[in-house]
Parts: sequence; structure tokens; C-alpha cells
Amino acid sequence: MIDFDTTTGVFKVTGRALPEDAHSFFKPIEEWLEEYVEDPLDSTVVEMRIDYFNSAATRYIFNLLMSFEDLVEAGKDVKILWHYKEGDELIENKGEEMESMLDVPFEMKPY
Amino acid sequence: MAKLSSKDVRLQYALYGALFGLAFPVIATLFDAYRDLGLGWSGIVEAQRTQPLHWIIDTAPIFLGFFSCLAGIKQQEVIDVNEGLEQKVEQRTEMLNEQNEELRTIQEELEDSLLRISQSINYAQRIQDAIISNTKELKHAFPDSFVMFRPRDVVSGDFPWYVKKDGYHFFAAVDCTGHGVPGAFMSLIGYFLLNKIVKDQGVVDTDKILCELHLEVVNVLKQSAAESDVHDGMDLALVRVDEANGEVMYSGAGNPVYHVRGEDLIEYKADFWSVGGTQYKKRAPYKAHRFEYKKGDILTVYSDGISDQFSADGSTKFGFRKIKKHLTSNGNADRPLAEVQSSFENELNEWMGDHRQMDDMLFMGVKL
Repeated sequence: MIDFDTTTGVFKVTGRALPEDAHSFFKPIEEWLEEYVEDPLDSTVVEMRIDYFNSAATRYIFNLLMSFEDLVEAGKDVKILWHYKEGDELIENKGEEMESMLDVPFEMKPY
Repeated sequence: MAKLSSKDVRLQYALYGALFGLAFPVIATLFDAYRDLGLGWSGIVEAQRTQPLHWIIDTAPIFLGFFSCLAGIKQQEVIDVNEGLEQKVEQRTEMLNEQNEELRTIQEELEDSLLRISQSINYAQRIQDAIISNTKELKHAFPDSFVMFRPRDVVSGDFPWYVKKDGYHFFAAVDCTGHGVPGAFMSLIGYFLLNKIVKDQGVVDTDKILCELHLEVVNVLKQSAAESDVHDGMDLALVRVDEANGEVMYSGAGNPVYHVRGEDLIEYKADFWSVGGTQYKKRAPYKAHRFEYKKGDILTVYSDGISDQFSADGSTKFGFRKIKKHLTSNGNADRPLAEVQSSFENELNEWMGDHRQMDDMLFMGVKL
């Protein structure tokens, strides 16, 4: 589930990301995000709480997160909170990998 | 027709009531006349004239007629309501029949579509199989080896790959984005590009093969175009075995290789970026890992469909640890790999239970 509240700047992605057609699923979200990045709030929090990605969704999610790099460059306050279930090393690894690939403050949050 | 019958019922009830009511004065008067005055016209008149009780009895036809008429009206209402209900039931039945008919048509269309789609996919599977099922060559090169290949749908985005070139054995577990039909498209692209790069162009270093494969995928899918939003590509663990020098070379996009010797397992990690797509700004050339092997060592590669598989109750994922543990425990490293594969499949099946398979699964191993 994706919930983007442009009044509070909280962007939430939760659940299982396994769309059969990743492209048409993520396209509108990318478009919102493009709009948001042009006129952002001072502070944005990205809450990722996903317990399954398929390989296509991983790429799209990485792409979504990358668009927050532009906000960091613009001097805005952005933070990605990567929630993962304690012991789910796959989601933990993916988070760590994404953290190392992105120039966005990143926090790993086991639950 | 409803109006006519409504008059009938009310009139009928009033009439029957009045007739029934008439019986009271008639019987009472005749009885009185017979008992006291004798049966005759004068007796009847006399009884009526002298006894006021008869006057009350005489009103019975009026009252009974009136009340019967009221009952008739009620009865009519019931009849009307019933008739309305019957009509509604008829209409509904007709509607339901129409809807049933529609549903039946839709069902037939769906069944027909499903049949045609599955036939088409089954046929596609024959083609995919003919192209990419080169597990025989792998078996020939490494008699003690296994390929566990479980497409989620009929056709698959995962594929095992093997090629021999310049005395090197190359093998890879390739996991293309998506599964099913889009995955299968990608798998063919991956298969032919790998063949082209290794067999035709003679690129034999695993890191260079992956770099070249990436460029080719970007090129084939025209991902370098500014407006491209095709992020597809593939993850793979690519291994080169150099038997002459007892050396393994490995490069990975997303997926690692395990080097098993007895109870020891060394994992060589892959680079993060997948092959294909232009979304990674920090993308650097793929790295190569080289290590020596001894006869009897095992190398395994797999796609994340196995580690990502949920347990029967959907609460946890299979993970990497079980894979590693299976390879190193129970003396598995010294058993024929076919046995290791089948016990692994048992473990996996038990784990999955009735949970649906989430993604294509591919697991390959060779004993060197």
C-alpha cells in the first residue's frame, strides 16, 4: 500500500510489492513524486515497511527512493526509514544495499 | 381484470354475509310462529309485530352483510398484494434468468480465453525449453551436478546457462525481472546476449562479460534513451571454471556464489546493481572474484525465488541460511549432488506447504 501525504510530507510504502505489471503500478507513483519534488515541503519522511519485493518491484522502488536524492541536493530535510522484520535478512540486506547506493539519510528499523 | 375481481370479492362477501344474516330472522320468526301461533302468514306477521326481539334479529342481514363486506375488502387487499408479489417474483425470475444467461456467456468467454492463453503459453514453453534447457551440456561437463528449476508459471524468467569456451566452463543462474511471459521474453534476450558475448565475441572474464551484458541489455531495450522507463534486466551469478589451473572466476549482479568444501562454505558476494536499466547513478564496473578449488569442492548459484519463498503460514521467508546449512550439514558435501538436490527439495516443499510459489526458482550446483 502506498500512502503519500503531501500535507505532512510522510510517504509510506507498506505490504508486499508483487505487482504482475510493475510498470503500470509504479508509473503513477513516479509521476506524483516528480510533482512533489518540484514543490516539496521542508521535511520529508519516507517510511518503507515492505515484506516482499519481486525483482521488478525492487528496481522501481530503488528508482522511487532515488528521486528523494534531488531533495537532499536542494537542501531539504529527507529521511528514509527502512523497517524490516527482525530476522528477515533479505529485506535487511536490500535495505543495506540501497542505503549504500543512495545519498539520502537512511535509518534501519527492525521491528 | 384485477378491478373486476376486486368488485366481485367485496360484493360476494357482502351478499353471502347478508344471506347468512337473513337466516336468523327467518328461522327465528318461523320458529316463533310455529310454536305459538301456527305456521301461516298471519302467525308470522303476529310474531313480528308483538316481539321487539325480532326487530333486532331482523337487522342481522344488514350487519353481517356490512361486516362481511369489510372482510371482503381485507381479503381483496390480500389478493392484490399477492398478485403484486407474484408479478414481482415473475419479473425477478426473468431478470435472474437473463443475468444467469449473461454470466454463462461470460464464463464461456473466460474459459475460452483461459484455454487459448494456456495453450499459447504451453506452446511458448516448448520454444523456451528448446532454446534454454542446456542442462545436458552441464551434466556432460560436470557429471555430478544438479539443476533445480521450478518456473512459477509455465514459462520462466529464470534460466540456467552453460557454455564451454577456450577450455573454460561457464555457468550461470540467471534471474530476469518478472516471471511468466515478460520474464520469458527477458530470458531469451539474456540467453542470446550471453552466448553472443562469450561464444562469438570471445569475452572470457566474468566481470567483462557482465559489463558487456549490461551494455547490450541497455542497448537492446533502448534504455539509454532519456524518456526510457524500462527498468528491466537481470540478476545473475556467473561462474567460470578453469580446470587446467584449478581456478574459479566469479562475478555477480545481485546473486552470490557459494564455494563449499566439506562443512565450510565461503560466500562470494555479488555487486548490487542488476544488469540493465539506467537507474543506478553510482554504477561501477562489475568486480571479479578469483579463487582456487580442489577436486570435490562444490559451487552453487541460485535465484532469489528460493530465499524469498514464504513459509506455509506466510509468516517467514526461506532465507539464505537454510540453503547454506543444507549444503554443509549431514555430510551433504560428500554425497552425490542429485541426492542433495532431492533432500533440499523435500525441505523446501515442506517449508512451502500449500503456500503459492512467489517467483521462479533456480538452484544449480556442480561438483568440481
